Amino acid sequence: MNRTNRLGRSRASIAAAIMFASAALAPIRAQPAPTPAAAASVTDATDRNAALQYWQAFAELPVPDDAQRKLISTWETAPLDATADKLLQSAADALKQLHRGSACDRCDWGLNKQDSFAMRLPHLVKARDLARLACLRARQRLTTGQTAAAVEDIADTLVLARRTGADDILIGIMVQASIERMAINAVAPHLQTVSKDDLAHLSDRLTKLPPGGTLEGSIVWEREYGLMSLIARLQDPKSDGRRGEQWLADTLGLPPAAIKAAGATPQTVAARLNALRPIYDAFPEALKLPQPQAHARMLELQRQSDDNPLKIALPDFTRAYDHYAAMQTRLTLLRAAVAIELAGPQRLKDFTDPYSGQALEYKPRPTGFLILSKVTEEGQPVTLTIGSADK
Amino acid sequence: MTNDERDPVEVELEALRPIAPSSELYRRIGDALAPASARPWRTTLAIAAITAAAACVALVTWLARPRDNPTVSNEFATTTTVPAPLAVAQSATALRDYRQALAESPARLEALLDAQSYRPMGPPDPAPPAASLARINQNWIQ
Repeated sequence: MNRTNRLGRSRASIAAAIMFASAALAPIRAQPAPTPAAAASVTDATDRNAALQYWQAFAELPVPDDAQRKLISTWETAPLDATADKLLQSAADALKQLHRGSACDRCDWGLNKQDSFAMRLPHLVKARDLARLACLRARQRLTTGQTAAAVEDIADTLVLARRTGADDILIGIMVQASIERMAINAVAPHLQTVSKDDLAHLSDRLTKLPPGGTLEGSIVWEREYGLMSLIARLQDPKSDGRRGEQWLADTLGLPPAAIKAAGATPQTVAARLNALRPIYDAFPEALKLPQPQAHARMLELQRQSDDNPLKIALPDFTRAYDHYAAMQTRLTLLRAAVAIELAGPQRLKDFTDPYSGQALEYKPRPTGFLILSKVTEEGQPVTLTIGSADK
Repeated sequence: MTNDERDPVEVELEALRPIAPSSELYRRIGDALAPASARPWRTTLAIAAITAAAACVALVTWLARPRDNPTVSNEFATTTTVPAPLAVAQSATALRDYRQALAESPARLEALLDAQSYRPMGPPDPAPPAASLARINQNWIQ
């Protein structure tokens, strides 16, 4: 076979292959190239579990040095200098994942609730860490006129807050309150610098926040996965190799002396735990009362466990109630403040105190305004101050 | 080049011949394919290693055995022994730790959470010492 023939045959084969490939790829080529927006919509598919995005964020969290730790712990007032800039740059990937998590419409942390009080909650610490960085960046953006981006940071942080509490575990709800407060404190001093468009977007995102944890839900959770789970284990106390007293101490977080005081047998310990059931059962009714009466009633219920050596199995719902009420009120105040910034103080009448149903109070200040509620926390009314941000 | 001339590349390819495997390669392959009985020294070595490992495990288990006061009655005496307690019970990130902290005060809970902040992901550290918990942030939320 001469070279020209072979070459010609090879060329024919290549041409055929190209034609075949072209035909096969034609449907793909016919579609327009994905735009950045289309690509983002694929990335932010709402049917994904947000926890998977958040855990990627947690994995990307920077490990700060001492100077950065100090900066983070004082993020509300720390100078926004090169150190802050460097820290925020190192946190960019984590914060990107925070934003992606917000786009998801569900969040399942995959907690092992069957572990009862020994259940691990590593996401709570990580969520706080991530939230602080998001709030620091929001503050930086607000002071540099990047208000649209700052609004995203604030809203993303609030979404994360809701999701830390959404399992109705009391500790998660406390962390939710903590993170919500961070986000509100980050934006409130700068709210007057946010453009109307960005305020409207913030208002929209505030109305679309996912549900967080509820105190009613946490009472149910603590009763079923905490108290009742322990009582059930005591009926069959052979599932672990530890000594009984040590097993209870590990699970309940009680010193062995408390177990001993409770009788140190499965029967006596179960009896002490069962004595807490009526108290648990009475809490939901107390929650329906106005805040002062609810607080008083819950305190009364709490005190019924004072002589029970295993009262640790009954969380301090009274104090949690105050924080929970303050958390809900604070977010209402932020919604009201955004509405006021958008359309004036007359919009305040659209909002009421979530626990008393009474009107909120508006007080103008030289650099902004103050909104007061009737709800109290640690004996002080819950308020929100708008303005007074250092430029 | 005419059709009858041979392609120099083909001529060069035809001249290529594989190199014969070395005797060392044959020896190694034969060694690897030989039955275990033909390598008694390896079996002996494996048995010795397993025995040594088992001895180490037994020694560590004996040294780490619980030394509870035997006079304390144990009404929970088990009929089935599961080897190790839950690792989660040793962690300061378990619900019980947070509950205990909250039972003292919300500030204590915050301090516990702060003590665990910004640590690389991995196995949890043991519960922070009391000194670190004493660094309580009086401002509960935040």
